[in-house]
Amino acid sequence: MAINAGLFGLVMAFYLVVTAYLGYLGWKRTKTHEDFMIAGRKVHPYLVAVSYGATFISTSAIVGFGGAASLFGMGLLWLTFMNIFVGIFIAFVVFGNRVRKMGRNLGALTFPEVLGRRYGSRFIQGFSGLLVWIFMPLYASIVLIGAGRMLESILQINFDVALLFFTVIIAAYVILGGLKGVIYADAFQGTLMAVGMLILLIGTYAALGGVGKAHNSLTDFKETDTYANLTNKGAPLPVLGHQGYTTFPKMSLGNKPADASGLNNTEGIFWTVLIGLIFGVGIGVLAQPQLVVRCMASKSKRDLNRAVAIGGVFILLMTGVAFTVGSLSNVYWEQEGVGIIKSPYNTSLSSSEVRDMYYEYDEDGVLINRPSDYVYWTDNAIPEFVNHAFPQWFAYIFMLSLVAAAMSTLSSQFHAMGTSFGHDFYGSFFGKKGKDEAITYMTRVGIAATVLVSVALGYILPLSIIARATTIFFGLCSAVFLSAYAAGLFWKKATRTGAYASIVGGFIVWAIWTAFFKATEAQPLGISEAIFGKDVLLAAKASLTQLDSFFIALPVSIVLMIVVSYLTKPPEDAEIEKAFKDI
Amino acid sequence: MGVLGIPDPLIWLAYILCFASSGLCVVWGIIYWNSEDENGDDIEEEIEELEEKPLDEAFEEEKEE
Repeated sequence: MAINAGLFGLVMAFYLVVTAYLGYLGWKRTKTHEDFMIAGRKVHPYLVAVSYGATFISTSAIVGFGGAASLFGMGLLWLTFMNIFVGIFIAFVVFGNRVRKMGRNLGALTFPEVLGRRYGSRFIQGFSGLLVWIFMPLYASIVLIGAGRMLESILQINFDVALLFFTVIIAAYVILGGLKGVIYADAFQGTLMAVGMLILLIGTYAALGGVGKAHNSLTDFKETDTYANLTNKGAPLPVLGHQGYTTFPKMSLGNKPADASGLNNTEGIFWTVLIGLIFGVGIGVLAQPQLVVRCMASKSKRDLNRAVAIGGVFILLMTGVAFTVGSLSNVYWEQEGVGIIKSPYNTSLSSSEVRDMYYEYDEDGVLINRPSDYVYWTDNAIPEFVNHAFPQWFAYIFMLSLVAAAMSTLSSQFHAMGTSFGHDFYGSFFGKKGKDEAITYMTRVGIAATVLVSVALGYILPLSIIARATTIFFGLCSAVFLSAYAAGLFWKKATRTGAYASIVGGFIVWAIWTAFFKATEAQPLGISEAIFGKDVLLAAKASLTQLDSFFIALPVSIVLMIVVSYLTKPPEDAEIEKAFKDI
Repeated sequence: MGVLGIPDPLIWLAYILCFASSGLCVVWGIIYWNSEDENGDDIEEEIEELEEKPLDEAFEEEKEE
């Protein structure tokens, strides 16, 4: 079913007017530096929860990971469980109130500032701010490019125009409205996302005859010819450890070639699902600067508790629905007799190259023809499913909720990057105490600069790196910040030198593993190739090359934190008393 | 066969845990919906904020609100 671009344009215009109004409201209510940075620490629990969830869940979590579920199956629901239990319950109940109180005790306005003030170190604040400012644009660029491509295909407008249009609107309400503008708009966008996903879930189960019947059909899908013909990286799914959509992928250890093609079962789905997706993204959420700041913006512990209730349901509606529907879409195609495009037996083809074999684009890159009796799998699984299986009015709502998902994530990224530059980096190294106006100004400049950098990165970097950006950024935050952050909140003996060692050591190990050992990142980065003439320093098929960098870097940063803290002079009692007052 | 049409315990467990953890969040939120902070710091903080400001200013702000 084709989307009526004119009608959708009208719906979109209405949505943008509401968003602009909320940005204006944020601007009007922003009077102080604290308002701009942390929304005056008086945000309503509904706004905290939905804004946190909407920031957490980007379009790529719904379309990208939902699409991944159309390939990997329902095993990805472990990631949803992690998202809810770690991302909401642990983040709010265990970490949230402590960081809120400590932030207030120490007068900290950003995540790097909490770290810096807890350890009494401007270097920690400045260095952390710099890392966020350098690496977050990578994560922002994937969301931005994804949103631009989506608008291009829905509204049939030029990609550059779509990107510019999208960026200018978000930048305007972030730069003017600060965190208040961001949170108000997030809550509106999040509500829209929740409605869209709820209808998607109910509609999908209804179309497939109810929960039990839908799951049974998905289990039986394994016996069909379609399943037998499905491939990933050019290999039949079972070669990669796939055991059906309602069975967890088979674990593979060692380095045995799986078949004559030379494909190795350690390149299998088990490691991708379990390690990269479930733990990488599941744990990384705890030390995400743009998410931590929302707990700090909350007014009281009571409000944080209320936010837990709303956030838990919100995340279930997001990734829980996306992963379930992504998997179940296979049953729908089978029942409707629609073929699923599979990639030819060629391991070097990327998914976009496979898509391009079936889809035609004109010289401006606009889609002009697509097969009518086939759907392309994974990347497009969710949007294609919505277009086929749902009435047109819902396709509009769903597309709008995807735009909202991208916008809410981007606005918070822009805000976090800007504050990291203006408040943390500039404020720590060049700022003067009491010059709040200058720092707010530099933050706004920082936001504008990072917006430009994010757009530029999207154009310059190869797609293979951009596509890994979410996992890279989440992994970086876990490796570098998590142990210093957790120790800072829970361990009074954690010392400044321990935090230095943990943050800098974690970063160095993470960077080395990413550039030289982790196959999916080291190959497209090309640093190892340039220096050593090999794309990865370990044999390419060893299991270790599949390990996410944070799996190596996080233990190192934890050990450094503990050992160095024990070896160095504990912090002054007065410092600790101030930081831990009422905690 | 299995639970909810899912044969593999590793999958139905994940499916159920998603709802269970979401339920835990809701129950937690409801139980502590109106709980006072154990240290009562919210009230203290408000008093501190008021004490830090000159009385006239605090009064003006109250009036504005």
